[in-house]
Amino acid sequence: MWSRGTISGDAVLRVLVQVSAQSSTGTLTVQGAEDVLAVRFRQGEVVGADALKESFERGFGAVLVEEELISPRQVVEVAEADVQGTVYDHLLNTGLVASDDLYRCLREHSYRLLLRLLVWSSGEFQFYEGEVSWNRSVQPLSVEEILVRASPKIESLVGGRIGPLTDEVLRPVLQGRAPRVLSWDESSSVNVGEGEWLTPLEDALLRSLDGLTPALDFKDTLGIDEFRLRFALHRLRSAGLVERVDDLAHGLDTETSAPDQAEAAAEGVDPGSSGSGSAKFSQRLARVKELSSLLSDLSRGFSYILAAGLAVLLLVMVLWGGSSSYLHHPFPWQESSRQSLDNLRATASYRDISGKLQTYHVLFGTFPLDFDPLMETGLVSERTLRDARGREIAFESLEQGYVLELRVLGEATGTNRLRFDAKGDFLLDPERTRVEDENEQPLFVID
Amino acid sequence: MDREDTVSALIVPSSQNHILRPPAGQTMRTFARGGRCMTTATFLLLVLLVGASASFAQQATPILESMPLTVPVKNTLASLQENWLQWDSSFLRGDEEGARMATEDLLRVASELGMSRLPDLCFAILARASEAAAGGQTQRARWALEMAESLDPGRPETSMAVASVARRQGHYIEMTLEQMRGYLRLAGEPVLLRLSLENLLVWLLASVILCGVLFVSLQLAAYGSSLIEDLAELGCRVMPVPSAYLVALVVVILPILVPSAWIAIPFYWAVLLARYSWPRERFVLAGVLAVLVATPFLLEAQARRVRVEISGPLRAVRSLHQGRLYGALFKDIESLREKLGDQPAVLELVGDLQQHLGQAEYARLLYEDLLRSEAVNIGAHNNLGVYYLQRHEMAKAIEHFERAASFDPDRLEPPHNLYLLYRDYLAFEEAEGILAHIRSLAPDQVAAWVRDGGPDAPLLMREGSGRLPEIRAGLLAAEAASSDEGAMAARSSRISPLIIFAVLAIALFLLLLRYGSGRLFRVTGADGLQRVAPWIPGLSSLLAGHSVRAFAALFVPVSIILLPQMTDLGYRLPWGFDPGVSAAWLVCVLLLVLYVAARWLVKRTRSMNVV
Repeated sequence: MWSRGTISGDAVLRVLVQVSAQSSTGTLTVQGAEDVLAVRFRQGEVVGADALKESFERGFGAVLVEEELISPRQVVEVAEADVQGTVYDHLLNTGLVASDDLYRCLREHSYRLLLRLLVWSSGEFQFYEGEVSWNRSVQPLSVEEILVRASPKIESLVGGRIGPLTDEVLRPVLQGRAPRVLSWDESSSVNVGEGEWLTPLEDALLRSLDGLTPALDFKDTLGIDEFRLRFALHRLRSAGLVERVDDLAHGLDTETSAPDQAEAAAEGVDPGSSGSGSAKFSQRLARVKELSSLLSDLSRGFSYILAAGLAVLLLVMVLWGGSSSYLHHPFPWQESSRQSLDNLRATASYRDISGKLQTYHVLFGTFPLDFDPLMETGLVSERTLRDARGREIAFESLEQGYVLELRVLGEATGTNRLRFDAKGDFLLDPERTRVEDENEQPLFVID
Repeated sequence: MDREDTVSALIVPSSQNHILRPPAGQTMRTFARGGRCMTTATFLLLVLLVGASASFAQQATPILESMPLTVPVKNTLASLQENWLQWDSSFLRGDEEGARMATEDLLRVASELGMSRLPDLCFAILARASEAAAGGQTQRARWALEMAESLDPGRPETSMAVASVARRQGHYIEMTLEQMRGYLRLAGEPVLLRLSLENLLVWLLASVILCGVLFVSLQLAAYGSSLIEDLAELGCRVMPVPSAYLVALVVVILPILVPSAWIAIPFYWAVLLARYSWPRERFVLAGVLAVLVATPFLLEAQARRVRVEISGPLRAVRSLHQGRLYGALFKDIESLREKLGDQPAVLELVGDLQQHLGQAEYARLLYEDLLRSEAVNIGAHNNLGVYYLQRHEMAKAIEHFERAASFDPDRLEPPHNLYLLYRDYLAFEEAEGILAHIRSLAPDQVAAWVRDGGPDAPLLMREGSGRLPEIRAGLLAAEAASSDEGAMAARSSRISPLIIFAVLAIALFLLLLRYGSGRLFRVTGADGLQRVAPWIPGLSSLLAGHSVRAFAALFVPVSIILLPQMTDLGYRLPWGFDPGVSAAWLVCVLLLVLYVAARWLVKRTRSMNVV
């Protein structure tokens, strides 16, 4: 699977974010005005990057020099040397650079190439999905880390500098907006398109923000690294989907909002008079959060119980309660439709049972007195003798036929009754095939 | 003696038999063939017959209202009963040979009435075989089942009975194969097939509606706490927090107090939660609501179809089409004539039946009645031509054959009969002309005649059974006409409350849209919902915002679980031999296992990120 596109605006940023969100593995090649870059991703993280036209001296060598691992002169010597294998092997084999330093610099080099890529304003990109080669010793670079680290340099692209994590409290502000959430496995295209969109992580974070928990705590709560959390918070903030809950402290100190007043009142605290000390405020805030958390848990548990209750009740009613007609005609004013449907179902059941009774008659020359002989001969089962609502189908034998009707607790419902008369059935009614006068003399024709 | 009996006795050719009453099982048609030499006496009798026919035609209505049987037919039917008794006694004695002979006799007798299948007796044999197998006489059951198959080939019930015997013998592979075969054979049984398809519709609607309600319960699990907290937040403005939460909980479960609470609650919650759901979720619920609204209308139309499907008249028509002779056939034909007596298709069908029973006079009356309403009917003209040919009324026979041939020059029967007439009356020039015409239409046919010694029996046309769709449509129209009385009033009584309900629901939704905060629920790592989500179909998709996928994930297991309930949700099939529900449960369990396995595999694949 692959996708291609043209670099314009924040196209590269979008592709990087989506590759990360979808945990894709593959190679992103970007043909820019000045160079061609190839970035290798494994499970959404950058495991390596190369520039086609970049020399050792200006690329990886420069990183080594900046890190003060080797001198510029050594870089030139290495570049000019006739090395066996790769230049990295040469650096390790000659002992110029320790392995840990080399891998750290490789990671830094990838970051720098990505940084170059992000500021490109023109070119074309292609993403090929498939396995890539990678060195396990090089720590993968998350896209979020790149963007967070690069944010001071690409402020316009990511919507401002991405600050460090603080204990600020945020709450969601959707105001009727419903940004599209990218699918984890939506691998048909890497073009996220226009419009508001969130990664699943950002969506989960948005849903988790409760206006009480400091943003810092979500690092552990959601089990993500700092860069991812910082970038997600930054994106939500830039999109205007969250707002700081400054008025909690403010309200408690001065203009306390009605709910907070109520909560504080429940705690036996006067919020208006508590603006003196931060310790007192923290205590009160902790109590409010504790109560709020308890009530949230309760409301959540209650909603789970209600949801499970509804599901179980419904399944029980449909599977064992004989409420099938209610399923199709649930409204109270549909009673006549329910009755009509039940009657028709009963008619179909009667037709089925009638067939069995007639078979019994063919076998034994008479109708049974009740259903027991039918069940003994295996013609009908217990299940057959009840309708969909569990009502008993009663049988009454007549001289030349029978009556079938529905009964509830032994009482006839009076809604559906079938009277079967065997008259006219040549297998059941001997009169049908009886010749009036067997002894009638035949007529003769005089020829 | 019926008047028809008199008629049939009178038309016997003199050279064949002087005793006018035919032996048991012999039909009038058989008698009508044969002698060409008309004696004076028979001529006089025929003159009387013409008079009698005229009087029949004048009094056609009272005769045609019923389905009288002539003595020969009665005798044939009686011999059918005798043969059955013979089969039954042979079976009870374990006399396979005797039973086989009785079976052959049964089929032979049925063929004399123009029929080839005996479903009632087939079912009786299935019951006997099942009884014998239960008593350990599986060998006897086996040969009985073979005979049942010959009495009505291709019936699903026979395969089900074979499966039942195989189960008793411990042949489980055979049992499974026979059960599968039985269900495949449903395709050949229109009543069972159509009712199964109707049940499929009912099952589908039930699955969608049930999934809709379960979808709401998923939404409640996902967003319920947000709703409660929003409501509590509103309450906090006027009361303490615990009280506000209590009030919020009461508001959420308030519809429990109203009648039909279990119906009201899902709607109420769906509306309350709409504010918190993604747009696609609302789209899904709107789709379910549309299905719910459409369901009564779909089921109303279906009820008409089902009433017709399980009615005696349609059963009779189908049976005639398939050559099935069952006990209540004539009774059901009478019922059909009561409902659609004047419809040409019915007249032709019953006329054909009478013709095949050998009750030629009744057939003639019906055909003549048919031609009054449908003058261009090739079958009626041809069969009337055959009737007159057998009565040696050549002018009338030629007239009818020529008319029939003129309606459809491609049909071979009328020219064939015409050729026969000319040939037998030595009108060789005309016969050659007709033969040339037939040769131009079907040269192989003529070659076959020459090879086989030439056609010697007039060909009847049985077009009536081909008009089954027409009769079915007529029965449906009659059913619709009878059920339309008061239907408008009932429909308006159904729609009005629905409109009020919809308006209220939309108003409540708009209110929440305006004043609700629309906070999303909180998903935290410690939240139990996330942990159980993979095990609850649709929940993880709903949490990820994939509403349609969530609904689909619910629909699959729910529809599988409802599979064994299909006949309880819909209409019980009139099986001649009850297959039970074990197979349906087995399929249900298998499909559920497959579903769980597929789900597990997909999750495993995703977690491994294999593309």
